[in-house]
Amino acid sequence: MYEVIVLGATFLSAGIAQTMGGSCLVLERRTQAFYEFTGALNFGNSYDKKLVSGEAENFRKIFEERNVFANDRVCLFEISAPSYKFFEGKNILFNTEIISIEKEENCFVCTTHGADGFNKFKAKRIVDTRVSDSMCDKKTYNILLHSDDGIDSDSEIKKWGRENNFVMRCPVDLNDNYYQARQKAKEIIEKLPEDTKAVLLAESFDYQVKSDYPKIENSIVYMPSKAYENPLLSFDAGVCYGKEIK
Amino acid sequence: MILSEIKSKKQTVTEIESQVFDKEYDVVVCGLGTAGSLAALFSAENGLSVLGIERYTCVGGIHSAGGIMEHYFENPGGRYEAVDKEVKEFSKHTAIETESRKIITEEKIIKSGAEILYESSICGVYLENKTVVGLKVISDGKILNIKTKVVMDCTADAYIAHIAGCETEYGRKTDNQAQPYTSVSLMYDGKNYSITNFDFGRVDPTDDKAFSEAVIFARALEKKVERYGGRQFIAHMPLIGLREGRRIIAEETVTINDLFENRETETPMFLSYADMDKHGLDTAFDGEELSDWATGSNLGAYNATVAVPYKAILPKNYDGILVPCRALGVSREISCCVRMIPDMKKLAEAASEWASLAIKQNKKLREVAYASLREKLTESGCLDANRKRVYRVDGKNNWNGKPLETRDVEFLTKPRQLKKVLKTDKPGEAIWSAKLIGEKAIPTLRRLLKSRNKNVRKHSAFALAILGNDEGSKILRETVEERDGFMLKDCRKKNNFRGVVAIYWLGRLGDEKSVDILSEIISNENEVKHPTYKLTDPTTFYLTDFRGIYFQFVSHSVMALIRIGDKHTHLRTKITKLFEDVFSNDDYYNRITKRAPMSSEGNMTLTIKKHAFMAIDKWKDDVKKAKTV
Repeated sequence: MYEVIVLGATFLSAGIAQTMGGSCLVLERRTQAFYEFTGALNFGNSYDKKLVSGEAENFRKIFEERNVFANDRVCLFEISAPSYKFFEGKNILFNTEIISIEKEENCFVCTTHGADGFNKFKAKRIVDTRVSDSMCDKKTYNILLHSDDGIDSDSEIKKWGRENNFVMRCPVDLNDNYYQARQKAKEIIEKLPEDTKAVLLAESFDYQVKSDYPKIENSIVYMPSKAYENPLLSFDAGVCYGKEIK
Repeated sequence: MILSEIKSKKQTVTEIESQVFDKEYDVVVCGLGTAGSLAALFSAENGLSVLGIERYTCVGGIHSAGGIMEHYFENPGGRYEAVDKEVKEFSKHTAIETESRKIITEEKIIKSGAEILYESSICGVYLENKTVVGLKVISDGKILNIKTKVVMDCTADAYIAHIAGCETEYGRKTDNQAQPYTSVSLMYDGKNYSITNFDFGRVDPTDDKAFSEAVIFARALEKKVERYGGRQFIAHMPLIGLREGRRIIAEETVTINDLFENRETETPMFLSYADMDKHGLDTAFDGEELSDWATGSNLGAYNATVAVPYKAILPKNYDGILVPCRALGVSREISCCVRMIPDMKKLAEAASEWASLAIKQNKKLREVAYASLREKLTESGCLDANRKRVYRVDGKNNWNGKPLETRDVEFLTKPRQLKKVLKTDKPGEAIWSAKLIGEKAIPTLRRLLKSRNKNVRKHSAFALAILGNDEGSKILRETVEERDGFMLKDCRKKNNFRGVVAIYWLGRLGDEKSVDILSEIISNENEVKHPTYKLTDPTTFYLTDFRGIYFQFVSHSVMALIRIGDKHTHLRTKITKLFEDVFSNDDYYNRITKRAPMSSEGNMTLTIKKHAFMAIDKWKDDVKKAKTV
């Protein structure tokens, strides 16, 4: 039995995994991690906010060493490799769908489905770091752009990425699916000036999570990683949570 | 009706009295990757009701989210070309084509009337008498039961077929290992964006834990600017590049011997065209049918046309399910020749037409007349049955970076033609021709063993060996003793060193007298200092901290000793002791590479030890069986 099963391979779950080690199991449906920020092409805000844990401070140092904040920009691509290193040697299963979570007397039983078929895992606690439409006020679908001549930043255009990169945050309706979001993005892409091209479309929606998270419901801790303004704060929250339950 | 599921790796079957289905479709396409996205589109364009189920958040698979935009070779033709044209047109707005493909393909699918469920997967299959009739789907936290007439398993791992209980196989015969996986990265050189991929070790994608570890390992690797010609790493492409997974045992399976012996199906759906595109340099463990061609004759990068039968996508004894993707029914040795991106797109078209005919005619899939399918595929250009079947030297650049002279290959038909080619540094066609000519070539080759020309002598020994004739064994042993590091030059890439080819043939011949030389290669710690291993190896330029030539000599020597031990039981004790001594610690590993075990280099090096101990175990089993009898 695990101390905690964490749903979602996010920056927050990396913080928990880092602290809890082998007593933690991370379950992720996709084959990628960190899609709530990096994959969503949201590179974070409010990096001036104070971090609580030493581990998060060390992570911030990596950000600085790798020039994440260089030239008045934020580029999370710089810390891809070190971020994944947090999961090295930890218990993490990608390609694993969560089917159900049931409470037994002293633990939770999590039924999953992956390449091995159905499996069951037990843990004393469940922490859900994922996000869905129902947890959010709004969402955007983001596009990484390249522009040689630059683009003026505003609320929808962020200086995220490397030099000459910008992220456009295309507003979509909360109940838009990926197809509908991409169609809206397509309309924007078609109208881009000639010197501006779309480089990458986001893997995930960029969610703005409601302020009433984290919270506990039916004994499950709902702690969406995206409720925090940047990956460092999210990671920090995970570390602190891990230390609290250890 | 039964519901078939997998629970903790085991198939479980539950009898169902009656099942209420939430929805019904003509076709459900599982996996909307390179093949699946087009299977959904073409089926919907044919007027069928279609549901596409995709685990990820966009369509295209490795061809979009995986970053793979190009392919090496193709026989063009088919409905996919119109889609590609539209994608290309939109690409003027995007830095790389993959992002256009995500948008345009998806748009076409939806506008054709198909539905898509993203972030969803299949966890059960409903069957009636081995005919698939429905699926159990997980989507948005809920279970849906979907009824359908035809399921298209485009998961690339035959996952739906596996759940349904269809017979499948996986990996190399010798050790069940698949081709190496790759991690694709978006790079920028200050002017243009491009894609680069980095090969890693082998992973079994049907093993969740191993797969997850492989993903972490690949992603945690630093992409240093200096290493990649000044191009800067931008981002990982979201999907890992898996080159191989499960394959179905189909109603008609194509094997490499079908190709080599000119046995062609009478019911092709298309002709594929590529080389035996294998990644991974541990060719010593590839199995004899492929190795006679790729190692023994040094023809691994020659292209071949393969006629793919339509029944290669129908799992044996099943109906209601097609597997139009990489997991189709081809033997492992030839699977690397039938996995180019255009092949996947042609599979999608063939499956769509087949399903359409079956559904519109109210027939089972196997009741549809081939002639009507052939007509459709010929009309679109997917099948050009009159296209010349070729072996061909093809590609852009030769092994030395210079432009390649492309040509169709005509193998030799008369023994007197052999000498001229054997004399060159490209003897491969002559060696293979000797095999095709057969025993009639032996007298000529026997005579050529005495030639004063070194190439003629050595290459004739190879040609005799491919005929199973050991009269050239002394020359083969001499070639190994001198650690002949001459690189043969038949191919545009991955040419073999002559000493390695000699080792291969000594193993195939089961040559007892070579045991001592081969043992020395793998056990002598000073062997690695031989000048041959310091030569430049153009086959391994992309690897790091890896003694490529030494690796080939060692790995082939181990495999040769295994073959010799298989043939001569009295040598097994000696070879077993040798293997146990050499592989009892990591010294052999450290002599070959400094890289981590999960890297491409490390994984291949570990495979040597794995095979040595597999052989020991097999020989011990043989002894036990003999005693029982």
